[in-house]
Amino acid sequence: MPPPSPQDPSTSSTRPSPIPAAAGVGLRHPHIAAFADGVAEATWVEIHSENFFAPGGPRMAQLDRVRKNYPISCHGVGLSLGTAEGLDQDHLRTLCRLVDRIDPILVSEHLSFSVVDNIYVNDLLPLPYTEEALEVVTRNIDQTQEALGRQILLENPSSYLTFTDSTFTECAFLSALVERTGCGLLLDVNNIYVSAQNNGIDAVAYLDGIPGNAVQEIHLAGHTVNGADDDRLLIDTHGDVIADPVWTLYEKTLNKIGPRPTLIEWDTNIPELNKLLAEAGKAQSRLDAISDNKGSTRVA
Amino acid sequence: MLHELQRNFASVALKNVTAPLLPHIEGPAGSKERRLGVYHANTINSLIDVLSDAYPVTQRIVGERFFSTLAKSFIETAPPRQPTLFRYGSSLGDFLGDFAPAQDVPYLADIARLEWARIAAYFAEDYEPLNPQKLSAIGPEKIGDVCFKIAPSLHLVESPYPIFQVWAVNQPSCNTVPAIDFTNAEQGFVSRQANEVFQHAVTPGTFHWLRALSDGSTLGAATNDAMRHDQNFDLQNTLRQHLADGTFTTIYI
Repeated sequence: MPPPSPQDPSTSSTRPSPIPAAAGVGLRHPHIAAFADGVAEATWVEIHSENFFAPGGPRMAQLDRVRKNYPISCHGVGLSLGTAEGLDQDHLRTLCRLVDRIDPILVSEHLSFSVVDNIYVNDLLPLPYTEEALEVVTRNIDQTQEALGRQILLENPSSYLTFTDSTFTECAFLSALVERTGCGLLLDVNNIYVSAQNNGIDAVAYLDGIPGNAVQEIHLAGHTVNGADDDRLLIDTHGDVIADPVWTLYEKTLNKIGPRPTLIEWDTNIPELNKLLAEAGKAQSRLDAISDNKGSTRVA
Repeated sequence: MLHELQRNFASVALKNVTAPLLPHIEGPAGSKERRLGVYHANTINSLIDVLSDAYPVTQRIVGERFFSTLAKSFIETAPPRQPTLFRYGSSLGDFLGDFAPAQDVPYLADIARLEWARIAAYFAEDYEPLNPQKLSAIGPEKIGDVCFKIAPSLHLVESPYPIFQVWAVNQPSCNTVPAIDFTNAEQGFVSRQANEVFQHAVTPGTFHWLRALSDGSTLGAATNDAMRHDQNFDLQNTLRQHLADGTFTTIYI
């Protein structure tokens, strides 16, 4: 595949073309100038929405320039869709403003919670998969999609534990949310692997339980291994290259559901841009390997 | 049910209080605590990183280890209230003012306030600086009655210590370390023009003039205020400088 060229800035006022089933990268601070200048050879980028909630300033100006050069996906980390006390309406309004400003091609959030009693816990905390939680998340997704006037994608979490309270499997819970809210899924293959290893689940069986048609994006990231034997826990650090077993699981995913836009997330120990793009290249070659030549690599 | 469980989980993440949640977690004792500990470590370490990114000079002055200790203490006292972490840590300066282990470095709290002013300036709304001709168009008989709207990025900072000098010598680019007289009070401002954050220490007269104008005083009243603090206050030059710095956005009478 030839290196993708940045879009013609003159067309930037129109909606960007759909994100192709190609590999993109997470836009992180050390690389933002290269994307603002349009010189990074990437097909698309994803931002953490909350990093761009300021009313003005250099970072927002850079984002506008990035947007002229690349399709952008907005990946939220702070809406707290699992929160039992209801969504923060200010937060939702600010997200709507950002979405209006940059017209992202995808908007996604996590199946997790992070807000309790107006305190924001800076982590994606897990939910018990219960009927009550299903109702809460359904209500919060409905509200988000209504406010945005568009579909959102929901990402499966990485997990270090399971709740005794759960009455659904994670797959059944996600499937129920897709059915009830019409949301799509963002399948994080590293999260599947990390959670499966940590909680003794069969990752391939997990894949079989996911409604493949609902998946509109895939995430890949590096993890670290803490401890050994019975104490072994995989930590979802986003701080390294993607591990071999995760690549294998990614290949299985593509074989099962077909090519999907795939994003490399690298949030800690952020490498040089070339190294990040090389990781995207590895995903691209796997996407290319299963794609036919008739343009079916593009999903709308 | 869910709300209660989420409260308990927040206590795990922020304080590593695990007992109330243990009956809800699968697995043998010991393993459960370890698993919950991952969430605590993720939460606290990521927030320490947020603070250390926001306060590089404060961290450099006290060292990474002490900074991490004070950050943990701050996080416990003032956990984030909103999910936009670039706004997290605004009260670190006030916290340090009361933080007993940091009292050996009496200027630390003001350094932190200066660093926060830089962040606030960086993320402030964009604005159009005042066109100086609008001021020229006001007749001399009315000029004293003019009030200014101040740029949203402008923040005033004052200290009984030379914080602008301390900040400057703690920049990675600073090669020479001049002798600093720590009995010198300094006051000044931080702002942003176009996309550049900048800061200047100013005379007491200029500082009071800016503060009065920020509080809505007329140019006449603010100038009188400045003269009370500094007989040599030079209105013409100060005004010209601040028009060039984009300190004002509009005028009104």
